[in-house]
Amino acid sequence: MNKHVDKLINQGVDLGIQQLQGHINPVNTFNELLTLYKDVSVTIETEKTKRVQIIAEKEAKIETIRAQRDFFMEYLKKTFDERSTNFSKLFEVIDDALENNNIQQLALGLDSLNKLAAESPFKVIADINMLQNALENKTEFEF
Amino acid sequence: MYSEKLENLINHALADGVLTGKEKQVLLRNAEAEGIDPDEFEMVLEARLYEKTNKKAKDKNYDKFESLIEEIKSSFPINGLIATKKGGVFDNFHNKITGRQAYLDYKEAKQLKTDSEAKYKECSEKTAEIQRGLNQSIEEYGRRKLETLKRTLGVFLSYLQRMEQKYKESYYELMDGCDFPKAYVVELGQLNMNNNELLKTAITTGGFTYAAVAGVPTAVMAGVTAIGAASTGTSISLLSGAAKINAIMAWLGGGTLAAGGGGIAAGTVVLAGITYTVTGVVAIAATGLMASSIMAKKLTQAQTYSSEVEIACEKMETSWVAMDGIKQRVNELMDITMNVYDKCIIQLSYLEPIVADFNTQSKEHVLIFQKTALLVKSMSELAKTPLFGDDMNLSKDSEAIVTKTRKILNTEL
Repeated sequence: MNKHVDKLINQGVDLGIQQLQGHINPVNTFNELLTLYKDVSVTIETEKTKRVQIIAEKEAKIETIRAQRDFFMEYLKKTFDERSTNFSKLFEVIDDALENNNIQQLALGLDSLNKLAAESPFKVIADINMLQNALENKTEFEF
Repeated sequence: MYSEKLENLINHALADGVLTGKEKQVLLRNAEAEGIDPDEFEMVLEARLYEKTNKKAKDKNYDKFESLIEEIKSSFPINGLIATKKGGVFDNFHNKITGRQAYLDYKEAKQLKTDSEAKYKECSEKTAEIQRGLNQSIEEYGRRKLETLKRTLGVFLSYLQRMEQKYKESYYELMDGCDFPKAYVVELGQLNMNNNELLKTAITTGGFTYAAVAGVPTAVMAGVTAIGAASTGTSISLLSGAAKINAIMAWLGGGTLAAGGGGIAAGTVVLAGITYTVTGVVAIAATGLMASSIMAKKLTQAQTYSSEVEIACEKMETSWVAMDGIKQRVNELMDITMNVYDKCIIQLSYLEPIVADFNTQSKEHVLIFQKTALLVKSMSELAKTPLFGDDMNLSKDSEAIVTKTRKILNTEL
């Protein structure tokens, strides 16, 4: 047992014994003790209820956070996969243009490449409210 | 203390807890016969009498107390059984009254606190590790961006200078013909200048990170000078990628604790007082009950703290996903930049031998120039590309960072 608590309880025991040694009416003590016991029992039960509520709220919050995270992970995976495929296709276009001296095709390919690179992959989830709304409304996103 | 005979006489006289006058006279006479001072003997006698009577009263009270406890036991029958069974009413009563409940709650609260602190520490360290790795990637990307731009744009512009000297008046006509207007050449010149400035000062000013996050600025402003001048201080911290990443983390909710979110701090303060202290001990049972009440509340506080830590760790895990996303973005831009860079270097190697004798009438010369120019233009655009688009609506904090950064650079990011 924790030494500090142990010591305090022992102090209480000693003092209690001293008081019991001829200074306290046992019946009155018992009644007072029961009143105190009832009060403490109420406090203990109240605190138990609070703890149950705290745990329930925590679990609800964690569930929301995990749902956001799962959505975010899924979104990032699909977005980057799609972008990677598009970049590969654009480089094929660019390589082909360089090989065939097609300036127009080269200009178009590089321009598309720069535009796609400049487009933020995070733009869809830029607004967290939109994400939350999507989750609350169970919106299905097409990628 | 006294002779065996005298001690026996004393014990007999005090056996019933009462000392009669006759008993006292006999004892005093025997004491005097043994040469003992009568006053001193009388004092000892009174002390022994008091001790004897008080012990009796004590024993009497103990008997009553024990009977009360038995009465309590028999007053709480459960399903016909006496509730001394573990977990029964008397067990609960016993737990509370003796302080065992307090001890159990204290133990649980302390364990929760210890476990929570360990979990928070572990999550924080992992977050910091991921963030360090991400920052290194960002810095490396920034460095590559500046260096590759110098080797492509810088070299290309030096070729243009040589061609301008050769063609004088007709130089800009040549550029227009290659879809390279004068204004754009000027802009590229500024971009190259800023790039070189960033390269010179990047190591000491965080310019690599800035170049990666915000892109190389093109405007002719004091921005680059400001970056270079501020080797320490607030402006650099504003320009660093870490600040922006932190803002993004805050936006995602994962960085709030790192940024001083109240949850953990409050929890820590609450639990700093978890060490149990009670000053007003009244009696054995009251002590146990009071401890039970206080520790029940402490356990609730510990549970609050533990929940806050769990939520914080979940948010931090989300920030890991966010940082992984940012890292993927860095890798994406790095791959594209290096790919275009390789093609650009090849084209520059074709252009370099014909710069001195560049012939605007030669289809081959013009074609090489156009290919190189387009690739250099693409490199320049990539260099200007920020890690995060302007469409990324971040938190108020990050907006403030962007605003301040813009102010410093006096340009658009």
